[in-house]
Amino acid sequence: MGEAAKKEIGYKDVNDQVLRMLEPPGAGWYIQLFICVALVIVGFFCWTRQLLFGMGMAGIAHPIMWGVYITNFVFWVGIAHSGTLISAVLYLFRAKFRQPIYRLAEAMTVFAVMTAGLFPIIHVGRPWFAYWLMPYPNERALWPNFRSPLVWDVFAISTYFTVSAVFFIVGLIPDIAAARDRAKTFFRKMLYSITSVGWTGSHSNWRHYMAGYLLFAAFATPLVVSVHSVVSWDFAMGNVPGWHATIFPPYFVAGAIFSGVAMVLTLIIPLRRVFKLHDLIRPEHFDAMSKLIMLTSGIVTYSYLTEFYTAWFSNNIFERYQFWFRPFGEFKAAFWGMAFCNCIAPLSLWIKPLRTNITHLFILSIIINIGMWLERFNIIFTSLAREFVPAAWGGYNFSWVEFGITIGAFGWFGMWMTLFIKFFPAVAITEIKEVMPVPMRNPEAAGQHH
Amino acid sequence: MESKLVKINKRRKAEKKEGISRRSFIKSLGAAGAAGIAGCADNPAQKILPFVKGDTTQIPGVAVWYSSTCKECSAGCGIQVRTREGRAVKIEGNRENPVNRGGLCALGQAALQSLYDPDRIREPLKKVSEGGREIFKPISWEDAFSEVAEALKEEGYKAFLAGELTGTVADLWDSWCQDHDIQQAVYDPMQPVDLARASELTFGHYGIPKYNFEKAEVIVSFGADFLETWISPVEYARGWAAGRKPGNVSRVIHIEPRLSLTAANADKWIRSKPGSETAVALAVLKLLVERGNGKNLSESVINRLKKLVSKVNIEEVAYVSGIKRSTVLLIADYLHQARSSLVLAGGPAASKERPLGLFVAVNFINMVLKNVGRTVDISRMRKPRTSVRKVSELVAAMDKAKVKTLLVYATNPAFSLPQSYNFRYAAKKVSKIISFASHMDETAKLADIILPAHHSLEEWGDAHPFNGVYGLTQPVMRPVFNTRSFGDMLITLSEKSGNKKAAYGAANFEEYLKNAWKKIHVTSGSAESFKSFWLKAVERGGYFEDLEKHIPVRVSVKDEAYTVVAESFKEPEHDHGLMLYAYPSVRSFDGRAANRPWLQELPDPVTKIVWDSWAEIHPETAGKAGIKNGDLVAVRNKYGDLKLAAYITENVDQGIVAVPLGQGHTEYGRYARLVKGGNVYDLLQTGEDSDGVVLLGSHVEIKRLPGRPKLVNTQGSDSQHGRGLARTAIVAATAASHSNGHNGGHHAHQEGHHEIKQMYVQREHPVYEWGMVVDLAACTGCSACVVACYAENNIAVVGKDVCWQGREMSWLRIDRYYEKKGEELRVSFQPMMCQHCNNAPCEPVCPVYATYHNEDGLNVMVYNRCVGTRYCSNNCTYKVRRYNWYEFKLPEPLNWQVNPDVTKRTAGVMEKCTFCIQRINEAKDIAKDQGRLVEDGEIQPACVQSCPTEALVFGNLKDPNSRVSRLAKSGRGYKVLDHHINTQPSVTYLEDLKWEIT
Repeated sequence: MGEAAKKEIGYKDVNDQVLRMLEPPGAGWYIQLFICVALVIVGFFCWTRQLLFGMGMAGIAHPIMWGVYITNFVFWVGIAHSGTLISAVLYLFRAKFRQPIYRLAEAMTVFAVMTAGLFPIIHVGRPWFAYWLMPYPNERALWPNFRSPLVWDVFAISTYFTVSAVFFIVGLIPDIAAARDRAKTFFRKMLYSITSVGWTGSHSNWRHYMAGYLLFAAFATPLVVSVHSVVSWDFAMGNVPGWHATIFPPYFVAGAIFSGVAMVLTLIIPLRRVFKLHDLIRPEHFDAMSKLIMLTSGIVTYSYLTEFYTAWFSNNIFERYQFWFRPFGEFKAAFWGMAFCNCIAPLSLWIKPLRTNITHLFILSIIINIGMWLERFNIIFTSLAREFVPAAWGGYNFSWVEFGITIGAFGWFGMWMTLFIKFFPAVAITEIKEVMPVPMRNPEAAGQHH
Repeated sequence: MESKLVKINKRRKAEKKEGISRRSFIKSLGAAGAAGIAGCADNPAQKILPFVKGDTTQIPGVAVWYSSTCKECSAGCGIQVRTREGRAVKIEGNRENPVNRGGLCALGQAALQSLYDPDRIREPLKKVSEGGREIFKPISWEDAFSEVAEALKEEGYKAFLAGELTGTVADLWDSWCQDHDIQQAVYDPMQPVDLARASELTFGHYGIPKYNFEKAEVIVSFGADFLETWISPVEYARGWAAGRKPGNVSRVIHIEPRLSLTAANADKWIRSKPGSETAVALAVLKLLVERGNGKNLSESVINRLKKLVSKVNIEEVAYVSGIKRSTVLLIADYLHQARSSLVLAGGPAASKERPLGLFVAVNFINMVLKNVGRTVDISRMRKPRTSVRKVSELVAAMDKAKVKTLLVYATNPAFSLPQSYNFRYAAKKVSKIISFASHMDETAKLADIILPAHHSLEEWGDAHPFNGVYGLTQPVMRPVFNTRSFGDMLITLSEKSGNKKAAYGAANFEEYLKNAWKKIHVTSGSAESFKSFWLKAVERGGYFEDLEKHIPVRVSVKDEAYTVVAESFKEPEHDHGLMLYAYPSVRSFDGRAANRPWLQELPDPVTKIVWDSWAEIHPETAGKAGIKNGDLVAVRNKYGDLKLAAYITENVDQGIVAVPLGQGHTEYGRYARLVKGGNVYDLLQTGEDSDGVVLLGSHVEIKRLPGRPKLVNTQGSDSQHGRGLARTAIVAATAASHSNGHNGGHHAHQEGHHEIKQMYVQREHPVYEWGMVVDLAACTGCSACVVACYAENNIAVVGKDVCWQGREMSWLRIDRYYEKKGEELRVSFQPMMCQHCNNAPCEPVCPVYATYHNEDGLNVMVYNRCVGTRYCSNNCTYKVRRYNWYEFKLPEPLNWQVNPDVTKRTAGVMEKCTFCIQRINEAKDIAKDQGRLVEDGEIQPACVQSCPTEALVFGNLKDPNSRVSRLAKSGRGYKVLDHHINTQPSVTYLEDLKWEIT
């Protein structure tokens, strides 16, 4: 790979290009930050109303007791998923296309978990008691119910957040040191000096760093599988027709990677354009991500079909009704939207030129994001709308409070991303350098290096 | 908090001149305590007064029960009122009273919300003009009495319009009106006056007979909705259920143009064209006479009957009524072959312009079937005094400005007298209207002076529904507001007006009542002293004779009976166009129950609509007018128009628009006024040959209007989708075979019975395992249990908008399913509450153990621990968990009803049926104190207690001899969905039994 890269850019160019992103921002950045913060305020306002007047402010109602908030939760956990996949799993597999995108993916992971983590708290009726889900010693000798998937969720998400945050921060250290060396203002100097924890770039530094990084990568890899499997158990452990299926863990993991890669595309394409990172993030990287999307889209499509097959084969009237209801019932628009976004639209990537067509990829990534939101909608809403007792079937009335909180969450995520790209290197300087030819006095020798 | 306390104390002082009484002292103590408890979050307790001297009758935390009689309708059911710390908190049926024997309908139980109605009139009021507007100003009782006394002294046409009064107060009212030279008129739109008149024609005695449903093998009802609102629904439902217990063979054929609750429960519902019931009844009469029935009658009667029915052409009847000829023959066959039967007519289908023909024909059928004296007891008749003709004469006199003073009590003609009588207009021409209303209804609003009367729970009184039943009403608590007993007011007024004739020999009504009861004591032939007779009656809730005792009655048919029937042939049978079908519902009754949030939020037993008034239209009729379900529809005729939401249903005839009565108040209270759309009474016409309100026959037009109002229906899907939730065993029994029992019944679903092998160790229940049995064959869907549950468990009433969002809070709901088998419609009702599963799906998913299983087999909910993840509700197979979406509050004094034994739930927590754990714990405590176990039948959850038909049975499943254990093991027993997901519910349903009538 990277024939052209080798010839065109050297170590200095990488430093220049990446660290240029940290230069004092222009009006565009401020506008973006303003929009994000404004959305956060809207979301917070809506949540305040919900806290003051009760959960009734949200559209959730009997029998659909989980609604937009849990959909958002699963959606953001799914987004959070691919970061670790790209950074840890692909690191272990030495997949070189990860280098320019993994930092952004990791940041995305951490911020998406931070977003996802808000939703269980927003969702519960008495959030001031949400800490009861944590096992902590107390004089009442009351423990959480370890049989409940929601308690597993608490563990899975908090572990995932801790590990991915540590992994992310550790990976940043050498790059922060590079930024520190170039920092001009006092504030930045202080920030980078502290966060680079005295990195000097010595051999001993590197030796410990690489060992540690490998360890974290190995540690994070099982979490890629576990976190979304556990989230899927929130549903699979329930007895609701449409939820109670053993296929859920792999299906959710594949879906999460699918949505995560799409989200990386959604973020990286504008970034590449704004900061002119065309040299670093190259068509072959997009091609590799497209292939990942093709694979996961295939798995997701297969899972959908399996669900229908299982419902038919089981001869269980409740399951059968549920899977009749999804494509033909009240929420059929969501089902067909999902099928289009997740199954049909990604098929376009089988056409090779489209895999490197940035515009196409950007639009497709948005479509996939919508599709994956709809997938969670389908699982949660339609299943709960048609359970066992027909007299208790019901629908849903969306409320503006839910909408406000949902866009507030996007604002929250965007706010962290916006701040991040201006304060820390969003593209991994050191790792890009790793895949570049070592600079030699004789450029010819460099060409023969591989 | 302080202001509240001060206010309470102030009122006490105003009421009691001689100082604080023991009772009010206790009440303020309770209030202070409650204030302290309620305010613990914000304010510290202001004042807690200790008892100076102990009181053995009032133990804080222990309920005191008072027996009384329900005055909500004229049925006269016995009630027991549970009071806590001086406040009535629950009304239950009284087992001693032979009318209801323990059950009580939704309306009767909701009487508490009438007692504590925040819109009740709180003190005497006088209408004054202020700034061009007429407003009511509070005046003192002294002034109110002297003003009314002045009016009584004046010469001129004075009239008193009252509701259907019963017992001693009616006697007092009669003599009071005579003494003061006042014309009397009685108006209660729910009285089947024409039925009583028909009795006079055919039996020679005016009145409503007592119907013995339990003795009838075949019941044929022409529109009489005896399971919901007709005459005495609790009594009848009880009798109906007794006839349907396995081993009995009672079958019900119901003929009505609309699916009423009785139609839904009938073995066969025959849809008739509105107004054609008379023809069908005559055809049946003809067939019976032809088959030789009526040999018991005298020669002259039977000959005249034969002559009468000779003109009936069965083919023509079949054409007119839309009922197949074979079906008419079927009805006659069933009646002919039954050893005992009962034929009824009533409801809106029988309430037409010329209603006597149908009633008389039905009476004749009962006569030829020898039912009179057996299932139709004319020795114990109730004699309604309502006469719309008399009222109409009075209104005419008012209209001519002849009436000087009009007194009104316990009736609301401004609302419930059809607009065609023009009461509201005529009332303006009366110089003085004096109202004794306790609620600010449409009529009270017209009054010049209001002397608010007590609620029946606050005063002495009695009820005399029929021969042999003397119910007593006693005050169960101090009056909520500054009101007076109606009887007391009459006595006081005659003293003030200085009427010389008036001598009642009593200083107050209580004394007058006792004097009257001395006569009952004498007739009872009781050997004990009056004092002990009286005390016993107060304790039991009345004096009840042995109803099995036969009272001989002579039957004499009047000539007019034949003429009435003969005239009904002359009724022109033309196409009537679209007719209004105004029907009473248990939710609002005739309108008197419209301001009770429990009833407004109670789903209509058949349609399952809450908080609304609607127009039921057949899809064909709707299609012609371009109306879709939920559209806003104008229903209009020359008298007025209604704007209602359309409810499109196949279960009404094409020729009618069915609208429930009693909604669309413009006054009466905040809850009543919430239901908009107009008052159905306005559109009704006057009846030329009827003495009651004519509910059927007003021609209307329907038109679609722009807009789609919220029509809130709590039922998700009308179909069971083949899931076998509410099961029915169809008993094949033809008219020819009198099979005793239901051995012919086939059980379609046996899979519920076998024991499933369990993988895990099962729960142990060392002493008790509480369980319930729901007999679907006895459940009518009347929804009394739902209201009982609301009252007992402080369930929040959430209002229409929140119901629209699907957030009603009922712990117990009644699922209603339709199933079409060819032309037959089968309706199933299934009370659905927490099933207290042994493998409860809600329990493992709760992350904080807010719901868990206790050793008594109960699925327990710990409100304090609930975080509100709502996972339990998602995982609940039966969807019986309810979530507090908001903090719901009741206005003062509706909140006085709150049961102190049950925690009020805060916003954000889940709640559900507890099997009334407070009652379980109370019984366990008592048993423990006495060193024994809880006995079978000792615990009755609120729903079980209220059920008129004893469809619900509760007890210990661990005890093999308990009633619930034995029933749970019966062949009809099954557990809902257990074989699908192994929830192992503690509730066993017994299959419904329906007889195939072909």
